[in-house]
Amino acid sequence: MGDDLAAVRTRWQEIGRTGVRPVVGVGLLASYTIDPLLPYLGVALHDAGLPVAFTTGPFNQIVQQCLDDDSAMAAAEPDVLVVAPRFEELGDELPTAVDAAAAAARRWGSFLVVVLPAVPEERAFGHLDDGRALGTAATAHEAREAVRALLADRPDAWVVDAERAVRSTGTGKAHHAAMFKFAKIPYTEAVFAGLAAQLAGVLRAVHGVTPRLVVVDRGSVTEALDEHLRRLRHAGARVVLRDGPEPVSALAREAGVPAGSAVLLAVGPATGAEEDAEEDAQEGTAGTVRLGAKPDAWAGELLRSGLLDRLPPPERAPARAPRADRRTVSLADFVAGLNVEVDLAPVDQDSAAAVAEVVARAKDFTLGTETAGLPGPGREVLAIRVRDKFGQYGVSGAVALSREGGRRVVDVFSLSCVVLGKGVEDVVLGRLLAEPGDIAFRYRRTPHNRITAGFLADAGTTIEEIP
Amino acid sequence: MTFADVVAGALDVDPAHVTDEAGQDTLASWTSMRHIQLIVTLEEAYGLSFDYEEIAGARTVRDVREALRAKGVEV
Repeated sequence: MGDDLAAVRTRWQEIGRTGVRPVVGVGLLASYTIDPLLPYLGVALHDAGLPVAFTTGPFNQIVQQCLDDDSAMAAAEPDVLVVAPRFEELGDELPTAVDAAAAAARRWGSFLVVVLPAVPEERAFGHLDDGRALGTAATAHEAREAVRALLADRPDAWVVDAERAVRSTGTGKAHHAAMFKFAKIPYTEAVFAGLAAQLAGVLRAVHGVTPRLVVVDRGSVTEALDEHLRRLRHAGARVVLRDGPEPVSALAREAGVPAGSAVLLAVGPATGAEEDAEEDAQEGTAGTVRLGAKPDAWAGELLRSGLLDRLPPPERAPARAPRADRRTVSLADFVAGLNVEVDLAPVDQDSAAAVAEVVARAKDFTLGTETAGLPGPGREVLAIRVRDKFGQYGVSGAVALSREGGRRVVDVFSLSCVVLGKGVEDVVLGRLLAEPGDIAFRYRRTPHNRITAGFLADAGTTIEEIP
Repeated sequence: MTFADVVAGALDVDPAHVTDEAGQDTLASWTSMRHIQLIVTLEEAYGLSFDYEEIAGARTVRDVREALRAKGVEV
């Protein structure tokens, strides 16, 4: 499994070097770091004839990106907007996030895919959680079904389920606690690969490239395989048995099916004789789905391949549940509702290490100048602690400033990405500006810190850019 | 696959550049996201897992090599 996943990541690097022109733009907004999804989804879409360009939004800013017409995602106006919230970060703000995403997708003309969040592993009532509607599992399922119902009758939206990816991986292997602490990545690669397979299935259907013609070498058909061919036919695929090495693309032409919707289904290791790769590659077929040597595994392999994908009949879609009377929130309302509290206090021995780490790791909101260090004569270093309705974030930033010629010069103003989008920067700047006297911000441009300069410029502060 | 191949593949660099001195400050491709790819690739390749301190502390190839050796992997 690990080798397979590494091979996909390597392929994604190789695809990136080919300079292939993207035909679909996919925007990703998540309440966690979702970047590990990109290689798996990118390769799956590339193989489906849908080369993709990704726009990834900042960590845990689904609502902010969707409500702000000047956000990076609004500027991207992606063809497909994938929104992936988790209960652990959003709690009862999940409906707000989905509402905001649905409205934004409509404004941007995006097809919306909401990833239903997995049920949290931590249960409020421990082993007794399942017995009451107040339990974590029950409330999570209720919220998940409300999202599904909200989107059920929209032709421009779909859902996929993170719970399915977690379950197929196994909860014991689905989470990576150290990686979550380090980079807010909650899941292992296997979960991201599973999630990508689900998303790719939806996007193949949306773009009409779900494989519909399945070509099988007659000689490979056994009783065991025949059972699965029946499943394919039941799922709406046309199964064509071929007797020789006729290209899949030629059989697709014969059947009146676009080459991109035709796939070769093969069993066991590649022999080289069964594929006419050159002609099929030129014609852009959907490639080969190869089943392993063990028939017992074929059901799962076929499911993951997407060959069994088919849209449920509309009349079976769940009816829209009555919506609670929720008012539409503005960005300001949402941020105000987070009840953010910001504490600035002089750095001390207890907070020095945390301050140094947060300054070293801040990439987006930072002046890009130097590490904070400890205070000295004429120099003040402040630790920024943040809490909101979801909990405490601890030391989440730092400010360092010195007296230079009767004015204050700030050369460190760094915030962890975990607290961005909550208005923390406004609070800190407000407190700095509230003190009398001139103040300037020393700034060095880095590949990632443009938002810091933009924020300070919009606030009308004095910026001294240094090389 | 050698240790240098694994690291080079994850960081998308020539294996010849995988020296002990190479690190986040010297290899332009060793970005924060590539760092994560490196960690998960090493975990998959050697069948082990890193804790937070090891992930955060692996700033050079030497750091990575020492972290693996501490787990009994001869690289």
